[in-house]
Amino acid sequence: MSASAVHQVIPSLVRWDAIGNHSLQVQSILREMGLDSEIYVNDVGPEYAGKAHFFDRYRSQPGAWLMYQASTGSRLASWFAQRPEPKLVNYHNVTPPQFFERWEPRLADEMVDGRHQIAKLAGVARHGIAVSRYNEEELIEFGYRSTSTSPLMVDMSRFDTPSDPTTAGWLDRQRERGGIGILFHGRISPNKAQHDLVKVLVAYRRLYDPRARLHLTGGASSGTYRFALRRFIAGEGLWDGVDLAGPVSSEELAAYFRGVDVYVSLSEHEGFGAPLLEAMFNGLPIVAFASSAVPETVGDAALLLTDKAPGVVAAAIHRVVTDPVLRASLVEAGRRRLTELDLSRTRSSMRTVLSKVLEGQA
Amino acid sequence: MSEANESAFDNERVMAEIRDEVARRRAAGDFPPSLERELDLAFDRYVPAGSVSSDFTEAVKAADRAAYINVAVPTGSQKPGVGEVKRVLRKAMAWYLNYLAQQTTAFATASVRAMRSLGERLEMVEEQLAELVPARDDAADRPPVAPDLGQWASLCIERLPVRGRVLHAECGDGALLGSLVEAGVDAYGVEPRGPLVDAAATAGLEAWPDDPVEHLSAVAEGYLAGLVLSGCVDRLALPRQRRLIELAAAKLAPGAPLIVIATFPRAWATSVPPLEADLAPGRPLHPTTWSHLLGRSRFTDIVVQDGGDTAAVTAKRSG
Repeated sequence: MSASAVHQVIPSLVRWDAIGNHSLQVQSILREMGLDSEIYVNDVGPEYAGKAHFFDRYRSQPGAWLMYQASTGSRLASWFAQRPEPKLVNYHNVTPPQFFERWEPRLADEMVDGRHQIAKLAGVARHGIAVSRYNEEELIEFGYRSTSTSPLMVDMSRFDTPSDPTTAGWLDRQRERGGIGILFHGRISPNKAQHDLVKVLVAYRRLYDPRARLHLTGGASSGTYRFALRRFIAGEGLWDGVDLAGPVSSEELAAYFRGVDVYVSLSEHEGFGAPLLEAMFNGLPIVAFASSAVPETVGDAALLLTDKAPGVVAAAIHRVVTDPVLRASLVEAGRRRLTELDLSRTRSSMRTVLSKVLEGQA
Repeated sequence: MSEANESAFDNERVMAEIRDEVARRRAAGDFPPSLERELDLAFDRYVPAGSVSSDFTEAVKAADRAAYINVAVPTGSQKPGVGEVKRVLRKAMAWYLNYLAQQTTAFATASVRAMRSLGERLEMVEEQLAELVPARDDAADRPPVAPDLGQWASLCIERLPVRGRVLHAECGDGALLGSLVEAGVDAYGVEPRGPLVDAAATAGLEAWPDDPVEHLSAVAEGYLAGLVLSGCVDRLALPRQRRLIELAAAKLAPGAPLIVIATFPRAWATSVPPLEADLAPGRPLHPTTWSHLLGRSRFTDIVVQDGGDTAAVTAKRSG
């Protein structure tokens, strides 16, 4: 092996971020392989202050490679491209800008830049590692000549968090009043299509259960979209049926996953979809729109929809919550899928890919 | 198929059964396709303005760019001799292609011109229509200054019931709403100005970003156990103020209290920021006028309490 070190370059390393946790796993694998490995960032959360260095502290060393964790546009990409070291790109997907054009034109421009940056890196990177086959196809479209797929590394043990008692108590009281609870976790963002979930709630309440509730957890990527969503909810008279919880702690999130009846994703674009795994971990049945990398992530552990018509989604949710055989089948399939994506397996997959690349076999 | 997959359910079969169920419910009229379209349109109302008109302009520009038909067919080729053949064919057919291209270009150009003209006329119609429709206030134009309603808190707490939902529209930053909740009233608020709603939500109150008239339109008849109106009553155009009273009468349960906190016209010009006063579609009504209008609607026990610059008009929805 010619490499003596593989250092990672990440625009941002912050808590609760799936890509940040994935990067720490990559670092641990590289160190297990006997390589020197540090993380260089543009932005770091206080909880990771000792685990990363600002990129301007980076100093060349013989035999070092660089690996870029790509998920957004960043000035670090240009810096990375100009470095003389051999380069790898670990691609988590950059949201296509068309989802944001109407809502946040400035963010859409950043996404255009981000995708251009990833495409430009095709000319200088020796290999692109994607976290899903869907992402790998994008790398190939960008012009990467050598690519592979190794799933996002998620430490499922972090899902085993005690529930926040206040949130759990509140959800229990909601349940006692009757009506099912529907959950989606993800940033409030046009590509996640939370507005479609609100439409589904209207349909579900009309068709099956007037007391059904929708819980939307996660901070907002687009203030404009969030504001429109709130107006839409109020306009439909659903202020008592939709819980826009905003950013939640891992304990609060655990309470949500354990206090509802079904997890529903109508997202139009996911590079992987880590919350789907958390739903499986908590034994929640999943109903999901089969977009982007979602079918690949869930395998057979979700009722997959090819149609987002509110009536169809509502009927699918009703079927899942009222058919105990189907529900049990989905939950069991979720457990199997989690085993397939278990950290030891995904680490082994990443280690294999890295070994091949660094030995010049990929 | 792996062993794991053999025990899994059949997604195709389940989805086919679900689609049958949806078709059956639609046929029964439980969930007509028109409702799904209405939901799409309802959300589209909140998509940022400007995108539709700019789409139209861009579409016309794109059509304009495509209107010119170029007859100079590329004749290059990597195969020897083929380029020469293409050039000869192009020259031989030029008279025919030019004739067709001129007519097609003329048609496309005329179509684009017609589209532009239609767009301009549509814009004029929209402008004229806007003059006929009662003006709606634009929350974005109004400074996010929270009103001081503290002097009316005890009156509201005294009159409003602790059972049933009570709405405060517009609730500003939630100061009065907070007092009501603290007193045990199951109150929530609506407020169209984003920064004020966010302030109320941050304070742990249930506040929604919405226009009071639109919000009341969406509330079920007889749902509210009490209603407090402030802010909007001073600013709305007269037709919308009347609409507000109609909605209040419809959405309040029989016997439920209504409290209108109105600013005296004499004080209004000096008590609200000049920007808000100048851009307001309407002007405040005198409390006596509110009494008169409420009396003509389904309200009884109407009392006006003078509070200096503002007055509270309390009434009860008749049984």
